[in-house]
Amino acid sequence: MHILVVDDDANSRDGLAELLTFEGYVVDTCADGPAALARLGESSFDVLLTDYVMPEMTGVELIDAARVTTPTLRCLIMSGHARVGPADIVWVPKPIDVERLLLALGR
Amino acid sequence: MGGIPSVHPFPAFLEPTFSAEMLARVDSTIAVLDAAGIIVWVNPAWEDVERPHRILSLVNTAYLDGIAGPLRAYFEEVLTEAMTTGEIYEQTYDCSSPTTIRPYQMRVLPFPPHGMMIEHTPIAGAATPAPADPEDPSDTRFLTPAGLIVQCSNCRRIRDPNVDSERWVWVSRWVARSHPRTSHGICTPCLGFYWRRGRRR
Repeated sequence: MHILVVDDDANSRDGLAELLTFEGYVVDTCADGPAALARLGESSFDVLLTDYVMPEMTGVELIDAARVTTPTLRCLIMSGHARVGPADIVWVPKPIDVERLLLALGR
Repeated sequence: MGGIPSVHPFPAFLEPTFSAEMLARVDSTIAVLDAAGIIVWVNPAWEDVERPHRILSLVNTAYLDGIAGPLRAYFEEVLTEAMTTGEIYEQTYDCSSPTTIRPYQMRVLPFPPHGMMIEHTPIAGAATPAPADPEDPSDTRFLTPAGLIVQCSNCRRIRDPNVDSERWVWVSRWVARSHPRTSHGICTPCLGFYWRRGRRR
């Protein structure tokens, strides 16, 4: 499974990449929405795991834009705020419960 | 620093890299453990802290016995990995008050198969007055150039954008309720404890 992790916080971004790679996933990372959209255009991804509050573009805006070109992309959004995004987006509350995240990814 | 030199014999496996005289002159509190995790030597700085406060472990006791709760399992893993890999473990943390931020560095220096040295060092020149909590919600001191506040989603500390190095501080008004422009991240100590524990290679 190829996952794109998007988070403006380097610790979160790199920590998730390290964790998910350890669990056997193929992971790429981006620090913001525009970079993520460019990356999505370059390779095929199965999952978009994105933060909510980010500079330039929120996670919901990123998902909306990504789904225009890749409507089947599975999307999860991470947030420390209240539940965000439409009902069909899986919400991963922060602080992230690692086991819960892995279950959401389908381990 | 000074204090009374330890009456316990200096561990031979630390020589010639270190000596009792050398470690007696440093500000760091230092404990040396054998391969079983038993404290076999401490420097005077360690004794100077332990004697009045009774908060540190003593020679001939298990180092981990001085650590309570879930942190004990975490540091047991840290020490085991250090001895197995021979790699130095480092982390920075703060031992601060509401008025003063005091960053510290902890290092575990393994000497497999004999034991290890654990040191806690105040980061020189890094103690600073803690920033006053903003009364005005529009206070911009903690905003990043992108106009966001970065908060650790686990410990709720705020990343200080005014220093080049990584520093996380308590802003009490944002502990229970985040600022609306908050981007939730994770500080390095929480990353190590909550995410990396159990997943070290």
